[in-house]
Amino acid sequence: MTLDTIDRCVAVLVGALCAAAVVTGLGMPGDAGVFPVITGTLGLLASAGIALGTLRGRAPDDLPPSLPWPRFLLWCLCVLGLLGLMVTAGAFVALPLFLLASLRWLGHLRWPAALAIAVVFSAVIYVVFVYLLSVPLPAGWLVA
Amino acid sequence: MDVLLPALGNVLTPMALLTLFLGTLAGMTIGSLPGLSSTMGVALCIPITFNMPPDLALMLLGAVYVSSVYGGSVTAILLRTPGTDASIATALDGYPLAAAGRGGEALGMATLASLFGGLFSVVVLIAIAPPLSTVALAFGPQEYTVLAIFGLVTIVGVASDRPLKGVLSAAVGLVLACVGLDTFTGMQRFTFGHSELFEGVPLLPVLIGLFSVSQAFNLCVPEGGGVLAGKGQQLKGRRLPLWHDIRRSLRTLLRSSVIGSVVGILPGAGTSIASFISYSEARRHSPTPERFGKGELEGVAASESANNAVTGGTLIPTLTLGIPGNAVTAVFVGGLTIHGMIPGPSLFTQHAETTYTLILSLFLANILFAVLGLWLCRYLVVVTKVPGAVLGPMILVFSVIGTYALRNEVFDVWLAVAFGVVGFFMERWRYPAAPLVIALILGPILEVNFRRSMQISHWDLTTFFTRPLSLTLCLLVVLALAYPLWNQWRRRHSSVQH
Amino acid sequence: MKTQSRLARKVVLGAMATILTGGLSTATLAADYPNKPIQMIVAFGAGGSTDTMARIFAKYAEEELGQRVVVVNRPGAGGELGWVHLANADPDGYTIGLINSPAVEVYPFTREDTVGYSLDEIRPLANVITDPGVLAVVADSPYQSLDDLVAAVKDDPESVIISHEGVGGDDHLAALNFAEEADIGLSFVSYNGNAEATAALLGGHITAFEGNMSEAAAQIQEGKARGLAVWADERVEAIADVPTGKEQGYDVQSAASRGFAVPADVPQEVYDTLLAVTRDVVDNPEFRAEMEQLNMPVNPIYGEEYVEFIHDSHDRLKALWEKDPWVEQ
Repeated sequence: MTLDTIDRCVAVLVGALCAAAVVTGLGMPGDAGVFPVITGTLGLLASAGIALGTLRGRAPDDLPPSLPWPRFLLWCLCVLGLLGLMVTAGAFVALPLFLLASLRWLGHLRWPAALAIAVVFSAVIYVVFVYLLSVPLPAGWLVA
Repeated sequence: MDVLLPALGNVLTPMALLTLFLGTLAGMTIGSLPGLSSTMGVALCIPITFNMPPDLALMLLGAVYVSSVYGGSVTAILLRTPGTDASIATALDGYPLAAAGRGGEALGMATLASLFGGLFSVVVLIAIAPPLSTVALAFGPQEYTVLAIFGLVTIVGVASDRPLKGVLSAAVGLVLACVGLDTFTGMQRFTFGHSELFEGVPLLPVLIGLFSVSQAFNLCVPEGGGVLAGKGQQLKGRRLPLWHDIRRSLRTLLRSSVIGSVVGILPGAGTSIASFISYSEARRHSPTPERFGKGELEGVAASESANNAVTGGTLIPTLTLGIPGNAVTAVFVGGLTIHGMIPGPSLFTQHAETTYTLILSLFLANILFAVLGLWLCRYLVVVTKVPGAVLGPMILVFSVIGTYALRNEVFDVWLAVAFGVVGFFMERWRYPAAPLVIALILGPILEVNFRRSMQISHWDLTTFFTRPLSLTLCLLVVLALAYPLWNQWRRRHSSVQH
Repeated sequence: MKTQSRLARKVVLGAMATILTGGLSTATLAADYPNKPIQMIVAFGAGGSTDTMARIFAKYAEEELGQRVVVVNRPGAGGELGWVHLANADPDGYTIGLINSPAVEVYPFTREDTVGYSLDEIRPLANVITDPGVLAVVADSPYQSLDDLVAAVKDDPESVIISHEGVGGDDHLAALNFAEEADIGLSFVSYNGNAEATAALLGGHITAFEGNMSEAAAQIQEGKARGLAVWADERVEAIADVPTGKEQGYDVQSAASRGFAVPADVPQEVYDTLLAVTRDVVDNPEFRAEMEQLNMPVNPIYGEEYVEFIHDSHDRLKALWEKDPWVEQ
């Protein structure tokens, strides 16, 4: 997809969002809706401006930088795994596993190096947040 | 002023110096970690100060405050992961410098600028705090409304060379700013029944998402990515900025420090307004405005001197009137009251010695972080050589844990990651993220003050033009809008003549 | 919320498993209570007035309990998020929390569709602070009494603008109550906190400030603001010059109070232990002195009496709400 096509899609999407804000705002009681209507209109105008700009075709062949999809999806999977594990299994199960996986498969570090960094870094996080700042991170399976 | 000497004595005891040193170090670390902010730093330190004598407790809080604002510049420059809105403008020029291998120079300039701005505002605080506090009172809802508009116009102007995309980004931010419980009518707007959204879309998760999480994506996703990727693994630049560069920036430093101090005095105006207005002013006065945004040391100087000048500025209404200037000083007030000192005029009479001890310790903390910073510059730059796929996961971990620690809410973490993906694609599609974040900050200020103005004036729109101060600000907005157009016209005109 | 409750359930299951395998009954559990640190949930941010009071209380409670009391800030939705966490916490006595009246009893009906807790899930323990409402004007204001203000409103309704801190909060309700007593209509402007409202008052941008005594006292003592009325039965010590509303013929009572509560199913022995500790702290002269310095009037109400207080207030305000909702839905 060229940047122009993307801009057009973004303009339609954001325009629809802003239009929804305007419509909802008009239905709000009192002066609660004034600001949503004003900002929604501003967004609609900007979307319209961008859509019109693409029709003039400034740079029709301009492409966004290419995205290595396999790496992108692998990284997204790692991040989702981190969040999912953090709430179920606890922060200090999720953190080392996430670091290990992403350092090994995305950073191409060797297993021992990845493992060492993962453990040391998790320990640093533990010392700083749990020990020094007493932040109640989700404990999960390691609940004392 | 005769309390200055005993106060100086208090600051120079070994215990006080140790506290200052530790506070400065902690503040720099907290500020520089992506995902941690000055507000959080000060809030997290309050329990620690609980069992300390008031003098030392305040010194610790003060040192953490000023040095965490400086610390934010380190990662904003080297990794483009500003921890607070204060350093977003720093990243505009700092990161291109770091990516070109000139991170050392940028850090050095940021350190000197922070020192200059910080010291300037502390001197202002010592010399003319009580009279200056009236500025805080002169600003009514009308003035805040126009100031917020001025801030938005400035930010859209500097954040991107495609103004329409900037406006779109800001508009999305403003729409997001409508989310939450409306305190005027008690109505829930766009919350979809999520109680986590009652107080609005939380700012810091969005900021951390759009900048830190998206940068983690940027570093991790491309094969062989990294800050210096594609430019060889060499650090080309000098370790410190040249004297020539510093002298060139002197006017910018002074102007930005004044802007920072004044904006700091206004309760609730926000550090980001100060740094963006200073940045925009520096660019307007520069002989080479086209270099801004691509790696101009003066841009770093403008933003950093302004955001550190805000620290002293915010303390002026906090200490003299008991009206905290921002979230950090609001937490600060809590720290003061825990130690039995009610902020207000009595601080300068009943508790004068402790108050001046605090102010002097801020002075010292500024010098301390500058010395530490200048010394650490050369080592910190090494971070830019670390491969992106190693750096990325660490940034992400800090972002996730930092976001969670803000209010112990898993919802915020999901929000940050979602905005991380949004920010990643915004950058690829050339939509600037800064206007969105700043609009999210200024949106509520704009809205509540606009509605307050309307309630007070009973829906008379001329109220913005009948007050001298608000009229002046209106003219500034018109100038900010007209200046680029006029500039364009003049350039075209002169090219026709030649 | 879903993930939170799932987490909570896991923790509950884990705790139950420990109890069963350890062969402990709740009685022996209560006997050596407390044997680990206690979490104190504050539903507002660090450094706020509720947080300040909580941290000072925790300091004295630690001495009494012989265990650490860890203050955990869970701000959001005007306190609601914190109370949701309190209501869903393990009822083992290791989680207690602060509740702010009237907010805590008002949300279950003003936010009926979305609220995440009910009053049945929280058992009030003891009230500590009762912070009466105050109506104040700037020192050089022409208004010397409530009558002056009422006369001005009757003369020109647009000349008087009163600030409050959010629709449906205790300040707003107090001002509405006053307007009803005086039979006038007031123009309001909402501020998000005491700081901005004070700046607006001192800068002359609003006519009067409706807030709590602890917030206004410093400015009144400094002579920068003048209290027109305090909405209490009797005058308050910290600002003894300020007459009550009743003295001036406007019988308005309003206060924000702060007290402690535990999850509803806490064993009675644990409840009693915590109640005794609260009594000891509140009776401690050092604690009283610190509260006085912060202009927070101590007004202890213990145990069942406090439970009744919260429920009475709930019923009274709910009746008011059903007659005339102050929030448009």
